[in-house]
Amino acid sequence: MTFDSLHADTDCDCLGEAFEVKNKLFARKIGKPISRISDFYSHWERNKKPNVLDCDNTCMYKGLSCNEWNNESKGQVLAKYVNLINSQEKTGALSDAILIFKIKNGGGLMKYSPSKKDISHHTFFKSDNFEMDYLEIIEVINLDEYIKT
Amino acid sequence: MNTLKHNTTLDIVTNYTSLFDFDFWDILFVGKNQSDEWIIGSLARDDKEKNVLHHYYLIISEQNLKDYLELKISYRDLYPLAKSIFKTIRDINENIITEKKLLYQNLKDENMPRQNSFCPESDEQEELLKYITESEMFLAHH
Repeated sequence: MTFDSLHADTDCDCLGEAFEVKNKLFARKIGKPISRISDFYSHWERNKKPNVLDCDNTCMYKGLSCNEWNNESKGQVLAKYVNLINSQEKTGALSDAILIFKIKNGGGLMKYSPSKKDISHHTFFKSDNFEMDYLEIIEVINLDEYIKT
Repeated sequence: MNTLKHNTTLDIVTNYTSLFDFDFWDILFVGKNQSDEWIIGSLARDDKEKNVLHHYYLIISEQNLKDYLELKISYRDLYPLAKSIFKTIRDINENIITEKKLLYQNLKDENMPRQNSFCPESDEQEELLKYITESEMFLAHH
């Protein structure tokens, strides 16, 4: 697995403590239709740059925000997404979903990056070969349906 | 709907508080502008196809803000109560591209938050509520 694109414009080593994931599920907010590559663009790829350009910020902006999805984290992760869509306009919210996925071999590496409010948070670093096919889609949770229940 | 040049009405200069953040974005935030008016703003939509951000800003009374922070009313309930409503479209680094003043009567329901959009409970929400309550008590005694 190579990460030349990730490190092309920085001297930071973003992959310290990153690991290859096997048999774990992750969650990430996506739009509809599903499997759009734009849902897996990093802030850096979208040309959003951090105010402070240190290695911590640079690497977080180059990675993708995800949450580990398991029985312990599920409630906290869903609460986070419900708060998100409740703050947004209805049309935007209705198009939002959570993708539950596994990463196939060669797709990239994951780093555990928790915060006080978001203890299951991880940062996903895509490999040079990453395409949507490297994600094994387990489930798509429609948040509008979830909120009505 | 009036198109405005960017003015300072929407610039939060004091008491900036992020009530909810997500993926390095402040999704829901509050503060005061230079006219000492409370503003509640939200990142309403992240358009990844066009790479732009849609924000709404409501200029509201302190009492309305307090009711919102106390979970008595929702974010959606603030819309008809707001003194003014603005919408901006910003680039990915949050520079304003367009800014418009909106009339509540002309807003579609689908462009506003859900009815149950109550303030996320957090340390920041509690601290802001405490600040407002203490300010009111101070003013009442002076």
